Amino acid sequence: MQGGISFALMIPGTCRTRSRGNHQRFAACGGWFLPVMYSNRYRKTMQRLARQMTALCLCLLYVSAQHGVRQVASAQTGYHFGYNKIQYEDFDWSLMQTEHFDIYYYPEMLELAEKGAFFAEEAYSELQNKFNFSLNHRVPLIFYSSNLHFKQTNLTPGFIPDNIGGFFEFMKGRVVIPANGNLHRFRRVVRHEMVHVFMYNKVNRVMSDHRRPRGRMLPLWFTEGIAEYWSGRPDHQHEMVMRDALYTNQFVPMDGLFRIYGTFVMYKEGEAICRFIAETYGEEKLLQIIDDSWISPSFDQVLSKTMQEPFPVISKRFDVWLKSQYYPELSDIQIPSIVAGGLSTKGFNAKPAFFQKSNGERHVYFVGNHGGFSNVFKIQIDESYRPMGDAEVVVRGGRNPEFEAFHLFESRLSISNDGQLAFVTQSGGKDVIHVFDLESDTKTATYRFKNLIAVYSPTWSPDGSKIAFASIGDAGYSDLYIYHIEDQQLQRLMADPYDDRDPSWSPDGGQIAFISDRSSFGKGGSYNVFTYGTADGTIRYVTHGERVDFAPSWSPDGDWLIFSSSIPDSTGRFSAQDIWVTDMSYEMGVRPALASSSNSIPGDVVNSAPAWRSLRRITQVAAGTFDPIWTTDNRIVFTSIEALRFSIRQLPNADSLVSTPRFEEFTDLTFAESGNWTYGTIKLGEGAHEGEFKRKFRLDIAQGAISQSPVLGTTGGVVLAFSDIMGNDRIFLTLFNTGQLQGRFLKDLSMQLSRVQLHKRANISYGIYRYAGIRYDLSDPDAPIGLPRFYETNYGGFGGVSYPISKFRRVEFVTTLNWSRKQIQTAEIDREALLLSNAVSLVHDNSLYWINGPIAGWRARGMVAYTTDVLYSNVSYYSLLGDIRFYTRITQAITWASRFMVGFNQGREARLWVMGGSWDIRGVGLFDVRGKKIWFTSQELRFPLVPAPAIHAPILEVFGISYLGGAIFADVAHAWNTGYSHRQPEIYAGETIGALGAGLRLNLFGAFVLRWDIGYRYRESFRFYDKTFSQFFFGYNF
Amino acid sequence: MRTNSHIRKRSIGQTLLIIGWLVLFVSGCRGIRVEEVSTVSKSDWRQDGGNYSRDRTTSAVLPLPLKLDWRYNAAGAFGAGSPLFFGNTLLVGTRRGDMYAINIEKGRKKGSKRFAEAIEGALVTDGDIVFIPAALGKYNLMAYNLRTGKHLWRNKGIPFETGLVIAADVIVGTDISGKVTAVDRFTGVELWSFELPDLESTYSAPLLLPSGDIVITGEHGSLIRLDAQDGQLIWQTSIPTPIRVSPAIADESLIVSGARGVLFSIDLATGKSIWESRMGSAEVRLASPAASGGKIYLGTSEGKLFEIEASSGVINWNFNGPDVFAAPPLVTDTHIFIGSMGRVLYAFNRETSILDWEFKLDGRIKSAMAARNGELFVLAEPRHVYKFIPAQRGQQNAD
Repeated sequence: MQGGISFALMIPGTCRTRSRGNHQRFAACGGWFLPVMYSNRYRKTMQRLARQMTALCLCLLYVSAQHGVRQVASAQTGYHFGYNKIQYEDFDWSLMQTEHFDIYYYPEMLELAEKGAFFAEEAYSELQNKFNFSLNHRVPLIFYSSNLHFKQTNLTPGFIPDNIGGFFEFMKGRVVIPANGNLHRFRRVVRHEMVHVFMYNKVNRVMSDHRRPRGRMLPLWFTEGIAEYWSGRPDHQHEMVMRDALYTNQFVPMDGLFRIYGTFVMYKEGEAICRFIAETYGEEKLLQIIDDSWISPSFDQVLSKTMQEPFPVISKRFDVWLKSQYYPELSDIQIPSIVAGGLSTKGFNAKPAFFQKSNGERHVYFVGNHGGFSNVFKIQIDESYRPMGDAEVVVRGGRNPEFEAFHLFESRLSISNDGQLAFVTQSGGKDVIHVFDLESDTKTATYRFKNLIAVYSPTWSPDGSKIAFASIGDAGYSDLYIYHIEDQQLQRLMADPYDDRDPSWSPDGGQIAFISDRSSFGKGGSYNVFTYGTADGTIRYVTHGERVDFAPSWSPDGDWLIFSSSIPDSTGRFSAQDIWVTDMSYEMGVRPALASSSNSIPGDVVNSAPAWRSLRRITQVAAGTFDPIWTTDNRIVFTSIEALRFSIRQLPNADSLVSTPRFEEFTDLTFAESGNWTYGTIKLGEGAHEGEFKRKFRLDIAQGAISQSPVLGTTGGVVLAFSDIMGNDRIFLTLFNTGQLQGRFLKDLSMQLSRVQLHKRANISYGIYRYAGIRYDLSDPDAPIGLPRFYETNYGGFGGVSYPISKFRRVEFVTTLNWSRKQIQTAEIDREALLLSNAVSLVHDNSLYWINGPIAGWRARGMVAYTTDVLYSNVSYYSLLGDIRFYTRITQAITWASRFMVGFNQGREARLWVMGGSWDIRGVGLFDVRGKKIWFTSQELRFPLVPAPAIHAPILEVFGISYLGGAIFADVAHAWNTGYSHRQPEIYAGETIGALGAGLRLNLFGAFVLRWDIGYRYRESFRFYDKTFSQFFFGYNF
Repeated sequence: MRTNSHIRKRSIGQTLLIIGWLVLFVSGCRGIRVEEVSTVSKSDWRQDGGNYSRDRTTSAVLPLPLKLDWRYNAAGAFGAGSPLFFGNTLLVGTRRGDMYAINIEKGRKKGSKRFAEAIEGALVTDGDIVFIPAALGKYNLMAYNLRTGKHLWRNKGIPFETGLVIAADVIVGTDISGKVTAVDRFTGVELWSFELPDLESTYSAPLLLPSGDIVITGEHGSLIRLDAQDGQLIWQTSIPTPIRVSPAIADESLIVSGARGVLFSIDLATGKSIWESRMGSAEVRLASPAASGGKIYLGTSEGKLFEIEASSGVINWNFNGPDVFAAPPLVTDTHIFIGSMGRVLYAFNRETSILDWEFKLDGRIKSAMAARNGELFVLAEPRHVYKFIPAQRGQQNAD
């Protein structure tokens, strides 16, 4: 979260901080990085985060002791980049208290919060039985009405991707859940997270009872698997993922689950394992596993003890159990890559739309991600629907505020008859609809809707004058809307708690097909297809029953609707998600005269008026299809999942597929009635009472550390971090001491008290401090070059504002006022000053992070600052900094990284810029290059050597060896003080130095990078070769 | 030059160092010696529940209200069984693997000793000897002489997570693999064994009938009656639900709590089912029952406490609490004491079913209680032993 990072400047002795794009990391930031059960691959373990937290706090203390405070305006290597997590909304938080929960919500979503309260208490009652356990504390639940609001939460510092349903964090035991338009899904997520709450408390109790370390958690596949299993029956997504994994050899046996750690497949396989255990050994065994978890850190041994069988036997049984369910279907299924032509199969591809340009070119447009950023792509195809070349980017996403992010899984594209592409991206705090002219390749409009938060799946009216779409408003319900472009009027089609999505306008304009859970089966999570009559607003059934229908789309003549669907069998197990069609050419109640005789309903009469409809399944795929469309060339273009890859494919001869379906059934809508279902609620005043929302600070972390160095001797200190329930307000207290004698304990006691407020768009921080003691400061101009160690006392305060202009750009302003007394005995300096520093910075970062550092995009920082002694005039200097870094993707895996940096300090007691070492100018010692002015450039080619070592040698997984990469580099720098060429060899000033070399980068546990560089060092502008070097260090690539 | 005072100072320092090391060394060799273990009294609880029928019934008089006399930190949590006591000594095993002897009057430690890595099943004493089942550790079954502070014997084998019974000179217990083992109480030598069918483990302590037979239950629902002396099978039957807690004997019937909400009554003589009674949905777990005076008392994971007719299974009344009841109740002549996972100790009037008293502890109650006249012993999370006495006692003394 950027607010925290930007104030790393103000925390004394900040280490260099790094950001990781979507996944923020901090080298030091006062220890407020919260361990959460969440990650950008869905989950992180508390252990890894706790280790990070400990490392962060220790680093903070160590660096604080070593470096003391830095003058803010001269912050050098301590600056940082990173995306901005923006608070677009000023949430007016309220508190509702039920029997077991403290529920935080904002007034617009009260109705949803009351339903959430019911779901939570309902889950509590059930889980109390399942776990045979009661919680002895109230659980804080924080609800958001949409995913876009959820993404703004400060309860986790990271960026939250689209498909995170919620999370439970360990520090304060908070559960954070967004609704996303669907009540069934909301209920399921509440139950899922409550399983985590119970599990966490139960496991802690078990470990504590047996005096085992409390940090020992159960494997992620088990905690997530049981949460899925106990939150509801396996849904269609579960079946799709399991089928695909099994049929395409992606299935991982139980002893290899570490290979899919954190992935969606792991969730689903974990769920399957829990179901297997329950069905084979008994439901009670699941709780028994938890009760036995103290026995061994090896979960295999725990399973073995609980099931009373060796682990390999259990694993084998699971293998057989799972395969026996799915393999019998093998002979009947179709593999998409065999039966359907591929249009775009690399990377991730979804939501196809077809358009034939005026010049006859055929294109399929889709959203996709082929290398890290999500874009709108197009691929040209010939008349046989063969790709003519590679997919091209039409709209670049993820790099600028206009097209900030796509909803890859949820929002379709639509192309009007005259070639206007309508698509949705997040832009700022809300979603917007963009219109892009495909003939001229230009964006022509962007539509924003004041009271609508999330927008999905726009669809054009045939005349191009209107756009229908699904949207979630503040209240959290998903309804359909029509935007009249000319009048700029927004028309709401329904206002109810049902989840309405995927609209598709019929070619004649008379109907809008869509899916909804408004049927009587909707309470169980079913979606059926409906039509909305544009003339009279009547909603009619198209399908009916316990099925999950998605993404209806019209045939070009309007006679058919095509959609994808998954249906449960008699045991409740969902089928693969296949392509279905239904005939829309006749009025309901009238039987076609030429109904297929084999499918005639006995006793039916042509003139009778049953309300039935024929549904035809035209595929029988292994796992799933999505978003089928029927093109004017009689082809069906769709997205398929195969081997966990999403590809755009096509099937020829649509009418032939329709006339000879693989399966046909009839749905009788005679008795289809409006769902009229609802879930229970716990209303304020009737089962819940209003609580007083107070900003109470609670301790997050208390960490102490001691360090010993030959320069400073023994130092020690403590960091305390507090935050409020919403994570918006944080307080840090740092105390440390560098005194070497008992009598100097108070004299050399340093402290800082700071506060960071993140609840508004502008992040604000302020604090006071006192630093006293031995200080080792390489950047001080008066400190001896060989051993820049001296005594300094500082009293002061600071304040700052970080204002995010967009997700990628921000302005920072920092001011400090401190009284300083610097004593350098060897130089006979005893200087007092009342220093006022002001700094303004502009930061840009849209880089894409990968495992060792950025691989695409660019980042930059420009800073202007002025520091002056307002009392004694002993100090007066200004500072300029420019640092820009480009990352050019040569291939998917190879990046050229360029960095250009200029630093300029000019005036009385101007500080030194400090460089040198593995992080910048290689070949010289750490921080050996110093000068009041400096320029530096580095060019580096980064490439993978062994991207996934554990696949080749699984033993490496134990050591956390995640990735081995290489680099070839050239670094050049020139630092100077009194004159550009005035030599100061001891600090490499006054000459241009450089290094050429190569290096290895080894990533451990996905969190730590070891670096080893070798090369040649050059002096005097590369005129002579100085020496070879070998450097081993740690840290991410720049 | 060294002086005598230097030498003396150095000697003192070295001596202190040696003493310090000795203290550390000796403190690691703790032991328990309880002389009064040899003194037998009718009010003693030498086994879990005070008797082998595990009916959780006591004739102890506990006039309400009670007050907390002391709380003792035993450094480890407790299994499902009750503490034992005799004379002025309370004996308890912990999940840390220690056994503690506590002075009942003062609430202070008399001694402690580490026997294993975890003790889950309840201890049992006979004469001077305490028998310890271990859930993890080098030994799985130990006999320790409390008077002399020495091991009598120690066996290695598969761990025990449930309690033991002593039938004459035979110790019987069921290990986690589902093997019922009988050993000689004096030597620890195995006398016979019996295996539960089909990898069935057990999570309930055996019962000992007056006839000298034992009853074992299995986690898959097996019920087995064996001759304790030779392991001969008397009868074997099963119920259709798992059994996860210890049953109780009510007159001539065995009361079994099924894990899926159903309570069963089984004829002890024949093993035939007498009745079954549903106490909740299939999701509900039933705790161990207590039986007294033709009534059965039972807590459930739904937070309900039931009184049930032992002869018919009909529910007389129930109480709806907010939290799980995982521990068996303790029944006196006048009250039913039951502890909840909500940290509350309740006392219900047997005649009126009204809640007469409650007390909030610091942790969840999931172990059985023990009592004698005027003293109630409760084991609770995180690792504390509580002693309650009538509130009037101190006042009477003051008067």
